[in-house]
Amino acid sequence: MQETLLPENQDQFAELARFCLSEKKSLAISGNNSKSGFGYSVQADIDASMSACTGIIEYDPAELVMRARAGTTLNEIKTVLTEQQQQLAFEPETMSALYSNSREDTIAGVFASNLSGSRRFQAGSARDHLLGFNAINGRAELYKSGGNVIKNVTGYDLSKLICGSWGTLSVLTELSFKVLPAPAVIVTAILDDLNTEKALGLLSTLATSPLHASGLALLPGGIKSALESNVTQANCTSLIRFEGSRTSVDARLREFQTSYASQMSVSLLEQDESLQIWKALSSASPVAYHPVIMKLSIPPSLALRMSQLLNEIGNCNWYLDAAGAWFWLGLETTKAVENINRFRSSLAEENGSAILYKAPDEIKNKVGIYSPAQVTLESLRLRIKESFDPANIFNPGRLDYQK
Amino acid sequence: MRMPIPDATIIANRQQLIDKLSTFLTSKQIVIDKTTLRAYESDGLTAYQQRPLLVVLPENTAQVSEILRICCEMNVNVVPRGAGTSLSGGALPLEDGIVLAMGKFNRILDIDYDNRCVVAQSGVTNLAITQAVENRGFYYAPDPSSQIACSIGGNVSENSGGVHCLKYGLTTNNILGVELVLMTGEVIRLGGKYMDPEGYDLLGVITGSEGLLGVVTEVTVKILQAPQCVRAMLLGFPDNESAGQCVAEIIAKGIIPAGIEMMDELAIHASENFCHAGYPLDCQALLIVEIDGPQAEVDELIQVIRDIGKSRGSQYFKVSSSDEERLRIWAGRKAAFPALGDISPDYYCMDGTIPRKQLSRVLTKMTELSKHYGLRVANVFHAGDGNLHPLILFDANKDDEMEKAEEFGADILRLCVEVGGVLSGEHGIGVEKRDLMPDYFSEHDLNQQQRLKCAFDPNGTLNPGKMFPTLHRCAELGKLHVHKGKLPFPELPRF
Ligand SMILES: Cc1cc2nc3c(=O)[nH]c(=O)nc-3n(C[C@H](O)[C@H](O)[C@H](O)COP(=O)(O)OP(=O)(O)OC[C@H]3O[C@@H](n4cnc5c(N)ncnc54)[C@H](O)[C@@H]3O)c2cc1C
Repeated sequence: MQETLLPENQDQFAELARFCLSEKKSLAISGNNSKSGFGYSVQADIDASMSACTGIIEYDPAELVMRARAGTTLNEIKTVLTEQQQQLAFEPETMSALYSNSREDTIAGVFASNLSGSRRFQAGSARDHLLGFNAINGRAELYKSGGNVIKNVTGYDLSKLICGSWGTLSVLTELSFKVLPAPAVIVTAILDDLNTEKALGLLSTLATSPLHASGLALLPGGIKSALESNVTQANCTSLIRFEGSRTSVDARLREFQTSYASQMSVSLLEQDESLQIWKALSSASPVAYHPVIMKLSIPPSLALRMSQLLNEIGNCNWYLDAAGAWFWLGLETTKAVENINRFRSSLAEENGSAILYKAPDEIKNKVGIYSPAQVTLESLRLRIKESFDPANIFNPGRLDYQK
Repeated sequence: MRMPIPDATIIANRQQLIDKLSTFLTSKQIVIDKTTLRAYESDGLTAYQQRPLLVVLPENTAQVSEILRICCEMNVNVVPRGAGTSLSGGALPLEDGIVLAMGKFNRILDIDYDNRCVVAQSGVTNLAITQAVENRGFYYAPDPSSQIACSIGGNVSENSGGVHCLKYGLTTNNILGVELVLMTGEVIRLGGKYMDPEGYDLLGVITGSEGLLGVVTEVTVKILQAPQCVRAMLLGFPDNESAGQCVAEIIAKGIIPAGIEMMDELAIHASENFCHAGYPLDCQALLIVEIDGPQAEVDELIQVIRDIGKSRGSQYFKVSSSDEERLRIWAGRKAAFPALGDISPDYYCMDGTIPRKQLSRVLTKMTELSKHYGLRVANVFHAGDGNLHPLILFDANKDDEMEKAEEFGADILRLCVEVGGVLSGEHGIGVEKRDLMPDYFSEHDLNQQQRLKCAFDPNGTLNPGKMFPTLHRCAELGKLHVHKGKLPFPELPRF
């Protein structure tokens, strides 16, 4: 294995980028490589990690803002936030089960990969919480974007572009992000005796009800065993999460039971059990054991049809989150190419995305990690990449289709 | 304020441009007469005016695309315009440019409750979206005070906020997709009725790009179910500082109200006289705190907030007992700008954001500046998110008051930056704060942004003269200067 350079601050990283530019060398950039399984494999001359640039720079809970260096771990940040009863509302969870490693996510990695969890449909994803950053572009220039306040329209919102760019535009060195109060109480209502159609109907009603459920997921029977929890019923399991103060959660649970689930048997998962199950859902662990994993993001009205298509295809396991707007799905390698093309073409007309999160290289190369895009859009994306990294020194090829 | 020097050739080719446009637009869609053009001379920042070369009123995306293609070919500048309520001069015309007015894009295309979204053409007003879905108990969350007039396309371009964005986010957090026409005339679709598009987040960077990257023709917005219960509270304080501390404590206690607004004495009096919202007149600072959610939660939080207020010395407390009363409370706040317009011939509205803990320092300094310039200043403040709206009162007919107001405004914004804040919270940079950008951004920061602009609009003909103080040619910005670098080997730890 190639050695990995560990710059200790942003100036050292800028120096390294300058070297790469003048010597025409490329750089593979990572945090702790916890999500290295995403994207095409990067062939770079030098490996560099931001994991030595660590530390929280500024945190004042009443301002709802934290600023930290790129390599600070997600766990450290969560610990510090928890002490102040705050959290990252977009619910990032480690993807280590998916990528079979136990490395710790860095905060820059969380944003560069635009992670988000089950609260996505209400709280947004990483991109909705990044307020500003310092980074080094492919010209070895240190620049900043955004700021340290929660409301700001000064200049282009480059934070959005950086989230989900997987280290292909710039190297993040410092990040400012929004933090929010954490709920005191979390309870999950579990319903087992609904078929998929009924369950989806209920989830979608709840998604627009004033009960403000913050998690709406559905687990078909087959994958329950993947969750180390006591959900053991047949049929499919609907999970409905309520969060807030005790008074608020209790009132909403009561109303849920009387107005939405009166004839149904409902069991409740309190605090810790609840946390555990949503952590699993947010990190794709119910399907993580599959060699091929995709995430579909679709108009929720298509969820039923999609679930039927998936069942028809067989040989795959899935669960649904965000009230039907997301499917995590695990496939076997046999027929994966054919099946992926099938989902993608079924989505093409209606809109939706199907991102390949994990697969052996030959499958990634055949179907692409992203669906084929409009040509104009593709060339615009290439021009954007060039505007940040004209010599293509950062993570070359990680997101490219035409390799 | 200087605008780019107009290109005489383009002005000379005006007739040729009209001829080309006339091949597919009716004469009503091309505004050429001086009187009608006058209506487009400025936007909400009325201090600046400029008559455009022409105003063009397209009716569909194909026309927008063809207009842009022709302008691109002839090197004519294009200024997109929605409803023209921008407070930063984003839609200020150029002498050698057309105004592309999106007013005819006024149809809601699809109301999709199953997918919790609405698809609207970009000229539809912000409020019209909520009105289209409120019979089913839904609404579109961002609610700028200009919502009866401003367009959703303008909202996307400015990333507009409103009094509820602390809890519900800005435009960027509430839209799912757009149809966008690039300066070349190419049409792209970004996002749709789903949450996570693939590849770089272009939708995110278009939002807040002030009409410099593309023309928005269609927007897909999320709609939310109206909360079960909404109550607004008024808390009066003897000074700004206690009101500020009250806000900090509410948030530190883990409460994110739907909105928290603060008004100072001058703003309270002006609003109360203007629309009789029932504000107490004997306090120096007034907070409007709105709580929404399940009934039980709202009841609980009102109590908590009342107690926090008391502990911070509030001298007045009232909670709305009906929706009518709640709306009256808000009407006072939403009319704050016109109300100040009523007590002063002119006002100039600023829009910096600061870390909230700096509030008292900033207000003190603002009082000093007010004395220094001899101009009054009123403050309305999105207190939850630190977004200040100081309104400088002046009389443009008195010599140099306008210049003084501008200088005063610039000083306030520099002060915001000095205490760790930013130049604009929601109104955008436009022409107004353009020349202050170097007070916040370094050359590297600005160059990176301009390079992004080049990726969308290499000739720089879409809304030039806005946002960036210096216009660089893309070719010049694109040059890669390579300095000999050394691998800082020995110093770097490795594993
Ligand atoms: C009384 C008053 C109160 C206000 N209150 C608020 C408030 O509470 N919160 C807030 O955020 N703002 C507020 N504003 C500012 C303003 O209303 C917003 O910025 C609004 O979003 C502008 O929309 P518009 O349609 O009027 O856009 P315009 O003023 O026409 O244009 C604004 C900018 O967007 C560009 N643009 C417009 N349409 C398009 C399009 N279709 N495609 C590409 N670019 C386009 C223009 O080139 C320009 O740069 C207020 C303004 C007024 C006058």
